[in-house]
Amino acid sequence: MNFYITGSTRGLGKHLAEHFNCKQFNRPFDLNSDIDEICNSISEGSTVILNAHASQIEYVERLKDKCRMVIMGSIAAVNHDSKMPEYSKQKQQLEQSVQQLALHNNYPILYLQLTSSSYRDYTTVVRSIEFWLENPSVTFIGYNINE
Amino acid sequence: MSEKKIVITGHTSGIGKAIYDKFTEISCREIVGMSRSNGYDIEKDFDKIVEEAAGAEFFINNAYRDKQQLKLFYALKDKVDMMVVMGSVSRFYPELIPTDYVYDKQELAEACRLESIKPNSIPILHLDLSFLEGTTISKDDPTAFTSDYNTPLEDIVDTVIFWAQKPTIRQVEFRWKLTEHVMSEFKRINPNLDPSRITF
Repeated sequence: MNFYITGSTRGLGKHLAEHFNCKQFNRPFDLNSDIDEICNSISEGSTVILNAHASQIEYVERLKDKCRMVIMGSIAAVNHDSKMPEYSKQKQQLEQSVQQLALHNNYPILYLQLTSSSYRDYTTVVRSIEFWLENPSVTFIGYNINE
Repeated sequence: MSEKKIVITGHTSGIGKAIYDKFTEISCREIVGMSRSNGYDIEKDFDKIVEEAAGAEFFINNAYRDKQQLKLFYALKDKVDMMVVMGSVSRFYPELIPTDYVYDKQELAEACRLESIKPNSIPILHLDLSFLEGTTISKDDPTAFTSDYNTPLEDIVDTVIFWAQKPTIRQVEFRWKLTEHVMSEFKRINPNLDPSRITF
């Protein structure tokens, strides 16, 4: 199975890219302006990890009929971060949009509602994705925030 | 070897039975099933259930009846080591099923969420379950129906086992595919339902 990832130069994205041997979309690609080129280069039936925050909703819409997707969301979608109101709003829109698609359609989508601690717990995120690949009736995994 | 036990309510049918059977097969712990058939009615025998489940390593809060599941959650959240709570994805669409069941499940999910953000909370997994395979319905209930898209019970059992190894997860949702058959049943039950949020 082919894996692709957006945003993989550091942190969780870098770890996932290495673990799943992903084809990576980083610079010189511009995730906002190069959507056409990026989506066209992704092969049908592959798995795409939308780790970068940029244009996530657009990528979901463009790729939903073509491949499996793992979407990195945030607890900020439900626990609004007053220091980053625009980020919280965008993550809320993403979560609502993905939930509509994943919950009552048949699109193979996994939405991960990450927290600051789970974002650093690479092993748990990797195992969550591997678990979903074997159990695709799961559409959403949320992590603890009390650590 | 730990002497702690695993307790599950509603263990004689459906997902409760599937989890009970699997744990009996794979676990070295004592597995305790609590259902009406063996003298554990979650309403009439509430105090007995709380008393006997206290101290469990793993409490699976599965059986539903009105507010009793929520009451069990509050009664045991500080008395067991880990808890799995069976919720429902229907809570996201109360306009489709405006029943006490959906509002109870909303309340239960919110209780789990609020508990999970407290420091030192026990690990709690809230599962938003969909239509399940093997579900039987009451012929006396005109609002009951079965779906033509059902989650395999094995997927849910696997999720519980997966979580037991990774209890930093607090919520898992399962696909609730609203097929034409399901939507037509919702409309039969509630002709005035608002399907505007449902996109296909």
